[in-house]
Amino acid sequence: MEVFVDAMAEGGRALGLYITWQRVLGLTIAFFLSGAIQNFMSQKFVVKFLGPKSNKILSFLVAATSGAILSVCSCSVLPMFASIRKRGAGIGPAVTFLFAGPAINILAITMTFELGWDIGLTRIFCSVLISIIIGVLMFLIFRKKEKTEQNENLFMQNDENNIKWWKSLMLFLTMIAMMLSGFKAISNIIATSVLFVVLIIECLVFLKFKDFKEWVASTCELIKKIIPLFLVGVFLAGFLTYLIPKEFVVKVVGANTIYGNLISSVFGAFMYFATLTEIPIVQGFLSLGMGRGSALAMLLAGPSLSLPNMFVIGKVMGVKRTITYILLVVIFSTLMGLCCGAIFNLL
Amino acid sequence: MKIKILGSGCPKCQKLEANTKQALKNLGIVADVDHVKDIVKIMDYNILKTPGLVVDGKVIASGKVLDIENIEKLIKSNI
Repeated sequence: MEVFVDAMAEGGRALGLYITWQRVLGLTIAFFLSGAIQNFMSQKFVVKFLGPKSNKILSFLVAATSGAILSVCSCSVLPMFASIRKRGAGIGPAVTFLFAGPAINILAITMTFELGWDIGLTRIFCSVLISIIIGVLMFLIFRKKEKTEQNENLFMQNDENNIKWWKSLMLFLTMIAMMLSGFKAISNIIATSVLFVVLIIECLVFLKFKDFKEWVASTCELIKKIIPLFLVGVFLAGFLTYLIPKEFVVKVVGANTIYGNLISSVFGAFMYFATLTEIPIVQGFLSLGMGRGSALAMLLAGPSLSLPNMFVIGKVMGVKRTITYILLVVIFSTLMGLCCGAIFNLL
Repeated sequence: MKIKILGSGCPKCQKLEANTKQALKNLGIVADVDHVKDIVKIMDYNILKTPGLVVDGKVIASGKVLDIENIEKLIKSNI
């Protein structure tokens, strides 16, 4: 019982330590960036490539990377997946989107760099790569059995008054530069402040007040949705880090073995991670001695799958395809974790 | 008038439902508002992105949460 209370205290302590000025600032900018992407980026251009008539190769590429732009809400991934599969580009790009949508989002990617440049970069690269591989494989395995009712119109979206592309590009670049200048390694308060002033000027010059208001509103909604669970994740990470013995973690996932990577991906696949919560939890495991390759494996399999989510996917594409999908995710996450883990050991 | 909100239950679709109910109140219309959460049923309505708003079987909006004013306009033009 006392251990439990101590663990709770550890959780609280972890939470308190986690909230630094740097993190708050970095996250705030990342949230504003996400809000800006949601509001100002043209979805029309991207969605076209997921339709039935688009070039096959392009639709895979777009599906793998558009998660950042399209599905900022995790609940809309599944309906979009279903539509792309039945009425659009087909099961291949749909599955690629299903995997990459939750995996490639600005917030998660930004925060992953906290775990290190190695894991940050490989996470992006491997997520995109795996999503395409799995999509192509699913396409090859199941294409003959797919029945579609292709509907081109669904993928011709109308954009309502987006701001000019170069204006949004400048806003995005300024915000990204702000995030980079705030990074621990290159922390430069003068640069960040200058960029902030530049951002304000850009907002005044480029945006109508209505646009700005909507941007702030979207951002606040994102924050309200994500931060509470994220804080729970930080608390949970502290709690578990206290309870789980280091020797156990090192023994199971410490070295870069197939077994260790496999355990990590299976755990990631089944465990539910709310947006961003995978970061503090993996951070906790790393501090207990988890291998960096296994950490990557968990980060790859984690966001896109969870046990409850598997059931819903099953309802949409049937048991056979869902099981195939899960197996492919686990296999490739393990593989990537293993390969990258070996590379990490050489660095 | 039968209204359906299409969405798996996340904050966005709940907001759409709340806005829709308020819009109906403002317009003084009494209508059934049903929230369809089952993804297989949502698929029947042929939308790309949730949340979706359906009035008397016809999809009048999808993909974003509309504000009350916009919903009122759409409902009025679909009576």
